[in-house]
Amino acid sequence: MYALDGIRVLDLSRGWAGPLCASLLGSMGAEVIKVESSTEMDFGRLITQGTKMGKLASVNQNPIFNVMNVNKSSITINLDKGSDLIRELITRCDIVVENFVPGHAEAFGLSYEQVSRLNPKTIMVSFTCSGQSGPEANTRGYAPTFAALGGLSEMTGYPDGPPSQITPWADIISAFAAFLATAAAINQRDITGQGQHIDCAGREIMSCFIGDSLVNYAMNGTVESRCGNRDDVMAPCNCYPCKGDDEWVSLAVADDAEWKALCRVMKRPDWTKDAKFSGQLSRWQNQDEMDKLIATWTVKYTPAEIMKMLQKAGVAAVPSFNFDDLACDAHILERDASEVIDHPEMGPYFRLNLPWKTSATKTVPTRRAPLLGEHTGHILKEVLGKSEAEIAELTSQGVLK
Amino acid sequence: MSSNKVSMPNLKSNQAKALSGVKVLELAEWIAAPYCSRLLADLGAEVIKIEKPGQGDETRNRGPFPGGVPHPEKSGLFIYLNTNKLGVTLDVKTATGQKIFLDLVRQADILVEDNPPRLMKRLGLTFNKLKSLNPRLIMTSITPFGQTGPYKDYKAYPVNTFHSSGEGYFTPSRTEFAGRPPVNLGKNAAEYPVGIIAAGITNIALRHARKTGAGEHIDVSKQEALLFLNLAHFSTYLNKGVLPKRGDRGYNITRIYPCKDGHVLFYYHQKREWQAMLDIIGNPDWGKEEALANQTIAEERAAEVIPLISAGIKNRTKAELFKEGRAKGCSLVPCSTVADLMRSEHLKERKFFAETEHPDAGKLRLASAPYSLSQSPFGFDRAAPRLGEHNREIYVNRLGYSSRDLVTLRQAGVI
Repeated sequence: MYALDGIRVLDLSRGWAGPLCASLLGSMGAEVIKVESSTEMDFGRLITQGTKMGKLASVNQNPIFNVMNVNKSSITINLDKGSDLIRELITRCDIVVENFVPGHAEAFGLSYEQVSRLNPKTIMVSFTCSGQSGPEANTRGYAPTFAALGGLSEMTGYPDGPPSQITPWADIISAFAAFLATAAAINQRDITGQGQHIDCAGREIMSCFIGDSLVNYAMNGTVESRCGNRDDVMAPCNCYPCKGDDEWVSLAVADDAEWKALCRVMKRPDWTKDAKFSGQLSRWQNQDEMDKLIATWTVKYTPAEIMKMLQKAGVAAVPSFNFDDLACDAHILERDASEVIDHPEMGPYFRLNLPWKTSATKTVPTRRAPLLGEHTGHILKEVLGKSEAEIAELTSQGVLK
Repeated sequence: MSSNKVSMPNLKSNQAKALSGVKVLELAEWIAAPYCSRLLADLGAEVIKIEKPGQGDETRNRGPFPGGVPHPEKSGLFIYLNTNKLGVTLDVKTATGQKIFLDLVRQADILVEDNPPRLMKRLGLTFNKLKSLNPRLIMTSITPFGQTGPYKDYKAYPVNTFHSSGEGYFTPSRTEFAGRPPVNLGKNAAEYPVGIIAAGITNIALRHARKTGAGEHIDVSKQEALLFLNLAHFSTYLNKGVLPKRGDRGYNITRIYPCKDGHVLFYYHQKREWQAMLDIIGNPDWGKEEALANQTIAEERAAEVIPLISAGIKNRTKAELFKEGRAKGCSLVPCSTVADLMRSEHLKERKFFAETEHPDAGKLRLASAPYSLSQSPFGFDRAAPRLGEHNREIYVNRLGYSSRDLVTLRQAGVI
């Protein structure tokens, strides 16, 4: 058995965050039906921007779409003509995942109020940039937008440089936040029998990650900003250049014992006695000078060598890994981090395994992402009990595009 | 013990929450694991946080502090991560401490911990041992590199956590930074997502345990959690061989631009969003060139187009640009500072910040949760615990130790 056996999810969302949330529920055993349309394509099938992957041969061949949409079926329904059909599907579902601009769903009878009248047990997950309420609810947004609005961009970068644009990362973690809220709502519904509305705002998720800096403003009116790799207390705390081209190791020291261990490995016991570096505060105050000295040592070794030497001595040193390093890293390989899935148009493709290992809860054997509308007929027959004649009728009306 | 029965405790707020009746034990410090259990506490679970006697969670020594004056009961970081929890002190390295710990494990549904696997093994606190005392126990272990593999006992602070994932190597992404070092995400920002991921799978395991009566061990590696957050780029790398580096990312026109009082981000995917942007900067003549409406062509000509967009933006404020972007349907948003966020009318109306009244640090507005649930309303029902604040409540009222035992245990340094 799977944890989410008996749960059916209707995924009306587009892009990355919503679809991945639905896919995660599918991986834990829920049956997921993705509603999409060939007349207004899920842009998740189209996005290649920023990836340098080149032009796609078809909407079924986007590797990003195909990793984010595993474990679901696809039905094509034209929203303008088919909202009644979608509402019919909702009566057979437990969870609805959507990311319409707030207010947009109402015209189609798909707002939470309308949906809960159809089926009060429905858990609806609404995912947007700024949330369902408030004066900025109408923000158009993508992953980098969440990070900028949420304050994470302003906090990331060199102290002397501009804020940083944050990558698709913001979408993916948003999917996990929505997944967490949904799982909790399912647990609650198991007891109460009641559905509910989950309001997920990408920008607020990002703001949670700088919560400690927000407290500093609340306490002291202090506006924290970019600090590169540095820390308020720890020193050293930075990335240091290593042997090779563009190779770096991150290194952080929390106390005097770790500093002594680091100096022992660097064969510079004199630095533990130098008044400039002997205490945590003096190290922090003199870290520009100290960082230069440490770099003269790190540059002689590869990041992997430094990690091995320093971790053995109890010092937190971890390479700033790149994807080449990770793909063939002994630890990652032993942890079995990825799998290969076969796809009729793409051939075999790699996908990362879910970021947890569980000893009892099982993950479903991965079903590749669906082709556009691949299961339209099947879903109409099996879930809604439509006859061939009814399906032909819907097709001729242009509902199933 | 019935596996389906869940008792509802008396709550201050009269509405039950999603995880009402769920008991969580936390043997963890710093950020990721305590954040995981704060998320569970916010959803209604009762969380008992275990701290080292005398010393407490390491974050008690880290700021921010009111007025910048360190005080173990006033750390903003500690308060942010531990509000809504009960707190006890216990040295699990002592024999008596361990016995008490096992008593607490017997009463728990979930244990959240972040200790090096070799330490848990040395203390005899392996999942198999704990399971033998409580077969329904869900043990969620959150460590830098997971429970297995050659790096399993390696140490990582927030800066190391982020750089372990591959994302640091291409942060920041702008071309002019190609020769400079990779940087961290925010200050501690990489730790929080791990807490979200762990809390998500813990909720799934809870449903599984309620249905089957079987608990389990959940192994969350911070490295893998953050690598998964790179799903888009790592998948492109694995399947198309594209290795992202600092400075070579394709973000061109879609970027952060300086404006009058800070920075704004412009991002688009759709033609109508590009046209909205042109409208915002006054429909300049160069924008009328039809070819530029094609995103690929516009990006190829980024060097020429970026200064033109910059010129249209640089003398206007974040708030003006954001307002116009929303009205016209364009993703043009401020890079918010912490001051912008704390003063935001939008977040105020949405009650994103909630107030906690702490006996030592006073009234504070803290970030609430990364979502809101209509049937599980957010609220700070408890202030972050003082060190050992609930020793009596837990050890005497719940485990049945006497007041005299409490004194002995304290003198022996066990609690």
